[in-house]
Amino acid sequence: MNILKKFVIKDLSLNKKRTIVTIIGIMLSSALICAVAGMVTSFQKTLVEYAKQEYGDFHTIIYDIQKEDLGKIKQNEEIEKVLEYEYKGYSNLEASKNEYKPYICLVGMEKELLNNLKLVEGRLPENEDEIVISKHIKTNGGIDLKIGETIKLEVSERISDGYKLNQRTIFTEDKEEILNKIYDKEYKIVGIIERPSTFIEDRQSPGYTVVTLDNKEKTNTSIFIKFKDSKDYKEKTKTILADIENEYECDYNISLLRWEGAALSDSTMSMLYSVSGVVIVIIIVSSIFVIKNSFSISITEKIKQYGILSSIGATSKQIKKNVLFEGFVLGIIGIPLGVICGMFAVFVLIHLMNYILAEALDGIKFMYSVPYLPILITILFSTITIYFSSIFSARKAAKTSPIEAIRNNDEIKIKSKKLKGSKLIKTIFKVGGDISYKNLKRNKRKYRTTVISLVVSITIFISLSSFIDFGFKMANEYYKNKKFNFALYGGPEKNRDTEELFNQIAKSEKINDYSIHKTIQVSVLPEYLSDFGKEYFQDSEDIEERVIAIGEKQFNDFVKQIGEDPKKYENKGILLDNFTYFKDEKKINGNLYNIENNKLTLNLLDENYEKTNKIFDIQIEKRTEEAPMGLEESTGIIISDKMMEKFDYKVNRMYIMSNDTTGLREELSSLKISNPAYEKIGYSDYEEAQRSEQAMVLVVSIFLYGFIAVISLIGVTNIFNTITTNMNLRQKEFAMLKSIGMTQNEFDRMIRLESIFYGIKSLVIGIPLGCIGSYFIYKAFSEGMEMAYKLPITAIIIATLFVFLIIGLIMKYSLNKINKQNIIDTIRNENI
Amino acid sequence: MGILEVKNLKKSYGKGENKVNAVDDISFSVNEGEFVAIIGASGSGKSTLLHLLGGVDRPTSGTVKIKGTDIYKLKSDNLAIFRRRNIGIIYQFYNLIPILNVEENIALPCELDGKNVDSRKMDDLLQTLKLKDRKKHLPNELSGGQQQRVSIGRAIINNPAIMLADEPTGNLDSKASEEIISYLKLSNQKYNQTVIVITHDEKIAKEADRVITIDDGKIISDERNI
Ligand SMILES: Nc1ncnc2c1ncn2[C@@H]1O[C@H](COP(=O)(O)OP(=O)(O)OP(=O)(O)O)[C@@H](O)[C@H]1O
Ligand SMILES: [Mg+2]
Repeated sequence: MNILKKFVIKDLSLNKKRTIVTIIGIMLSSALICAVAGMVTSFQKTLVEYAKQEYGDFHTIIYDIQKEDLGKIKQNEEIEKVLEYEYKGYSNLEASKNEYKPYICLVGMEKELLNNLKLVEGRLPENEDEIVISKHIKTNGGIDLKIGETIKLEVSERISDGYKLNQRTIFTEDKEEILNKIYDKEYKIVGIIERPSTFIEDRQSPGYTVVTLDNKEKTNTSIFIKFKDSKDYKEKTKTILADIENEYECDYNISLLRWEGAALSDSTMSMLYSVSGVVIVIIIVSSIFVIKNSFSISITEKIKQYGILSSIGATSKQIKKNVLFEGFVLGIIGIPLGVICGMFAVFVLIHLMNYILAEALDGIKFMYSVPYLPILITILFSTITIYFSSIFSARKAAKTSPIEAIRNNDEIKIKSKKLKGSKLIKTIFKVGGDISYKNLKRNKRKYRTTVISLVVSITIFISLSSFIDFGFKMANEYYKNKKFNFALYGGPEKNRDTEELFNQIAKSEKINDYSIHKTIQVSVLPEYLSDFGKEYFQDSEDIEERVIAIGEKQFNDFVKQIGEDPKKYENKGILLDNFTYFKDEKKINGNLYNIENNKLTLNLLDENYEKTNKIFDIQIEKRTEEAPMGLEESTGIIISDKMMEKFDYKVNRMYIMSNDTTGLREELSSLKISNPAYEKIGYSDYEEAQRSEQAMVLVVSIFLYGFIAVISLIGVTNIFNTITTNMNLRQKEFAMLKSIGMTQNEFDRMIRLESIFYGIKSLVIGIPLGCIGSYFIYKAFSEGMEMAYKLPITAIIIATLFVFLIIGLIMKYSLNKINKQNIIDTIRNENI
Repeated sequence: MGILEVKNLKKSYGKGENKVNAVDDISFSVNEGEFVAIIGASGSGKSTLLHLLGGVDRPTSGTVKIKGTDIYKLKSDNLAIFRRRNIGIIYQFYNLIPILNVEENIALPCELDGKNVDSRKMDDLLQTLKLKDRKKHLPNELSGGQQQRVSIGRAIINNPAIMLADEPTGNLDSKASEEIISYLKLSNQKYNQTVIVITHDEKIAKEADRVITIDDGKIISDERNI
C-alpha cells in the first residue's frame, strides 16, 4: 500500500472513537434516507399491488372489439400484454330482488383472466360447461344458487329500440328491452367469486356476472391492455384507437395508474412524495453537517501533518487524493451498514404496521419490497455528501501554505480585538468563564456547527412532538364523550319501515342500550331568540331546529337524569340549549332561545327545508345543557315518542352502546344475507374507528419518534465529534493552565460553563423555532378542530434537559480523557 | 552562478503600524557544496528566510532561484515536486508525522515521489543515524535528539541538492548537537550537498564555510571562515 493510504488508515484507526462516530453518522444518515425512501416505495408497491388485486393488472380496457380490429391492436409495440374476455349475453333472472339488476350476464374469459378472479368458495371453471357465479347474486339479488347446481341460461342479446345494449347501459323501466336469444345451454356452478371489478360489472350494470372458461377465438372481445410503461397511457390508448376505423368504448384503471405514478393528479401520492422529499432534504442537510463537520475536524487535526507532508514535497493533488481516500474508506464502511440498517428498519416497520393496523386496514397487507431504487438513491446521496464534504476540506488543506499549516495558524489565528471577553461574564464566572467564553469565540465556526446541529434537533423534536400530541388529541377528543359506540342509519326513505328494521336489530343480545332517533325539522320563530341568539342570527328568519324523540326508555331516563318526573313531560318538550360559536377567534357560549313564556312556536319544514307554514307550539318547561345519547348538537327540542306520533317524522338513526361491536357487525351482515331489506341500512362502528385511528396515530408516532431519534442521534454524533476534537486540540492549553496552577475543580467548572454556553445558545434559537413549527402544525390541524394552541411545554422541558445532558456527557467524556493524561506528555506531544 | 540565488527577497507581516518586515530586501547567493551558517538575534527573521529558501512560505516580493529555477514562479504542485526532489528541510521542532514510525517518516519524500526506498540505502541511513533499533518506534517514543536525527534522515533520503536546517541543535545537549552537526558535515562532504544552517551555536558557526549574520530582516555581515 502506498504510504499516503497507510497514513489515512493509521490515522483512522488511531483516532478510533472519532472514526467510529463518523461512521455511525454516515451510517445513520444513509439508514435514514434508505428507510424513508424505502417506506415510500413499500407504500407505493403495496398500493400498486392492492390496485392490481382489486381492479386488475392492466392500464386500459377497451370494450367489445371486433375480431379484425383485435389483430391490429395486438401489434402495437407499447403493449406488454392483452387479456381477452367476452360478454356472451344476458339471461333473465326473474327472482332478482334488485329491480335494477334483472339479468344474469354470462362472461367468457381466457384462463389467465380467470385466475385473477377472487374465489370465495369452490373452484374455477375448467371447461366451457362450468361457471362460477358472483357472490352478490345472493347478497344483493337475494337468489341462493349453490355450488353443484346446474342452471339453464338462455343466452340472449339485450335490444332496445333496435340497439344492442351492454353492461354499461343501465336498466330502466321507462324503456322497453327485449331479449333476443342466441343459444341456450346448461351450466354447472362450480364456484362462487367475489363481485368482479367495476370494469367488468359496474355498480349499475343490469346483469349479475357469471363466468365461464372460453379459450376460443372470440367474435366480440373486450380486452385488458397492460402497457410496457404506463406513462402517457392516455396518448397511447388514443393512438391505438386512432389506428382502427371502428369506435370503441374504453376506460382506464385509474387506481393502478395513480399508484404507478402515471396519473399524478392524485393528491395523496403527491403529498406522500412531497412529505418524503422534505424529510429527505432535512436528513441530507443534517448528514452533510455531520459528515462535513467530521471531515473538517479530521482535517483540522491533521492540518499540521498535511503541512509537513506538503513541506517535504507532497502535491496538493496527493493531499486531496488522500482526503478523498479517507472519505472513501469511511463511506465504504458506513454506507453499506446504513443501507442494511435502513432496509432492516423498513422491514421491521412494515411488519409492525401490519400488526398494529391489522384491523384498521381491513385486509390490506403492507408489502416489503427490497427497495432497489432507495438503495441506489441512498448510495448516491451519501456518496455525494461524503465527496463534497471531503473535497471541501481537502481544498482547504491543499490551499494553506505549508508553513502556515504547520503552525496551524488558521485555526488559532484570531484578531485580538475579537477576543475581548465580556466583563459581565468575567464578573459572574471568573477567569474560568472568561476563558471558556473566549474559546467559544475563537472556535466560532466549530461552535456554530455544534449549535446548529443542536438547534436542528431541538426544532424538529419540539415541532414533531406537538404533531404527535395533536394527533392523539384529535383521535381521542372526538370519541371522548360519546355515550354510544355504534350507529345505524337508514336508507334514503328514513320512514317507518326503517324503524321496524331498527327495532328488529335492537333485539340483539350484543346491544346494551340504544336510542332510535325520530326527527322533524322546524324553524323557530325569531321572537323566541334570546339576546345571545339574536346576536348570532342577526336578522335571519331561518332559525332551523330539530325536534327529536329518542325512544321511550331513553326519554324517561333522560328526564329523570335532569331531575324531573317523566309523567310531567308526556306532552311537553325539553329544550337542549347550549350553543357555542367562534367570534374573532374567541369561543362564545350561551343560550339561543328565550323560554320565558314556557313555549316555543315552530314552523314545520318539509323535506327540502322549506317552510310549510304549519305553525304549532311546543310547551317547554325545562332547559338543559346535557345532551341525551347520540346527540352531539348543542341545541334541539326533545320530546316523548308519544308526542312524536302526531307528526310525520323521519327515522334518522339508531345509536347503540354495544358490548361487542365486531359481533354486532357480523350479525348485521348475516341479517343482510337472509333479508335484502336490511341491505339499505348502513352503520358506523365508532369503537373500531377509534381503535383504527389510535392505531394510525400510534404508527405515525412510531415513525416520527424514530425519525426524531435518528435525527437527534445524527446531531449527537456531530456534537460529539466537535466537542471531543475541540477538547483534543486544546489539550495543550489545558495542560498549561493546569501546570500554572489551575485546580481540578476550577478546571471542571470552566468546562461545565462552556457546555452551558453551548446549551443556552442552541436552546435560545431552537425553542422559538420549535414553537413556530408547532404552531404551524397546530394551524394545519385546527382546521377541522376546535382546539386552543398550547405551547409544547413538555417537549421544551425534555429538549432542554436532553441538550444539557448530552453536552454534559460528552464534555465529561472528553474531560476524563484529558484528565487521565500527564501534563508533560500533553505539552510535549504538541510541539511545533 | 550559485546553486542558490536570492534577490531582493522581502517578507512582511501585518499592515500599517503593525507591519513587520521579517525579511527585508535580502540578496545573496550560495555555491554548490557550500556549508553556510546563518546567525542572528531572536526575531531577526532567520526562520522566515529559511522557509522562503525552502519554498514552504510565500515571499512578499523578490525571487529565490535554486539550480536556476525560480521556485516561486512554479505552480504550487510543481513547487511541491521540486521541493521533494531538491530541498531537504530540518525544523527546529522536528515536525515528524506522529502516527508514522521512524522508517515511514524517513521514507516519506521518496514515497511521495512514487518511488520505493532502496532497503540497503534505508539500512545504511538508519545505521549512520544510529536509529537501527528504533526504526519501528513512533516519534513520541523518541528523545529529542533521536527525533531530530529522523528529520535529518527524512531530509537527505532523496539526496537533495540543498539542505536547510533551522536550529537543528537548539533543543539538544552538546553531545547530541555534535552528532547532528557531524551528520550535516558528512552529507555536505560525502554527497557534496549544499547545507544552510540557522544556529545560535558558536561551534557550528565556526565549522561553516561561511557565516551570514542577520539583524532586523537584513544581512549585516557575510563572512567566509578560512
Ligand atoms: N506568522 C507571523 N505573523 C506575524 N509576524 C510574524 C509571523 N512569523 C514571524 N513573524 C515576525 O517576523 C519576525 C521574524 O520571525 P522569525 O521567526 O523569522 O525570527 P527568528 O529569527 O527565527 O527568531 P528565533 O531565533 O527566535 O527563532 C519576528 O519579529 C516575528 O514576530
Ligand atoms: Mg526561528
